[in-house]
Amino acid sequence: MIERWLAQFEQSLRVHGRRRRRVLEEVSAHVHESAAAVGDEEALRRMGDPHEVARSFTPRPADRLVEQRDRLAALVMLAAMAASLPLAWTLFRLGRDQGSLAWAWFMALLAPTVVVAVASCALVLARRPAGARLARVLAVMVLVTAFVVTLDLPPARGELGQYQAAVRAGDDSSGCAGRTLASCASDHAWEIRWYSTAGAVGLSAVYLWAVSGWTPRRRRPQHAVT
Amino acid sequence: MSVDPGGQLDLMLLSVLDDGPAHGYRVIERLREQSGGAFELPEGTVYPALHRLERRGLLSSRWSEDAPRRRRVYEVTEMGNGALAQKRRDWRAFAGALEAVIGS
Repeated sequence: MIERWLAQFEQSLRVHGRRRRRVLEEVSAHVHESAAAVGDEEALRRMGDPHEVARSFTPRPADRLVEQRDRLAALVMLAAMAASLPLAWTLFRLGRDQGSLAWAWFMALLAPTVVVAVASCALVLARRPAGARLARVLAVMVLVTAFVVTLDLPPARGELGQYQAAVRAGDDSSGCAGRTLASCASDHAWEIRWYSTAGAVGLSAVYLWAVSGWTPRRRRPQHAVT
Repeated sequence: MSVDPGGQLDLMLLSVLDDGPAHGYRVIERLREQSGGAFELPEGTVYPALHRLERRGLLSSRWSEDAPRRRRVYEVTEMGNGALAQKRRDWRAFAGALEAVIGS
């Protein structure tokens, strides 16, 4: 009787690989232990319908997305930081070639935020609660940096001024076709200031939401008592 | 008396495992003992729930070899402790409000 129940369960189980072996071993051990205590029939009655039990091991895609949203957000955050490296490299290269240290001060402003972001993502990927706590710190740091950049305060002012000077001097004329270098420099600086800031603030807000453990309410009653 | 745990299965599993690591069979025994037999859950619902809580990082598990059969032993993680504290607060707030309504 038990073997038939387990065979039906295995037939309906839509889980693969190592996880499948684990589920089968766990459920089999449970049924046999229960049967030794209360008898085969009662043990199987307590377990329920084998097909239904098997189906409940397969999470719906939406549930899986909710369960993994924190890790997904951490991966997106790391990818976005990696995608911003070319811009950071351009700012560094142009500043270095001009002999100015403005880029160094600007990087010094960004470095703690980057370190906190990477640490938070690593902890979230390892499912450590400190990752979510660091996400709050990160959000504050990103907001402070956003104020500095959008209000054109030092060291952002020096860095973007130096960048514009380099573009005006023709050191970096990519994307300037059809415009004067001065106009191009001004446009690029504006885009760096506002687009990067908006992206960073938006991303850190989404990241904070995703890792803080918010769960959508189910449609079914949360506290059903009969 | 038979009580439907409704949406509180996660809270109950985390609470039971908060007493110490246990394998699925023992978890169900503890649920039955601690509820005075009120919770007659279909036992098949417990394992998917344990797996879901583990995927969410609220439980961790390992194989235990100290029995005739290998058993998967579950334990509440640090993140699970935080979630349990929050779920307990939510439930007590709800139960208090409900009691205030039906008590009158």
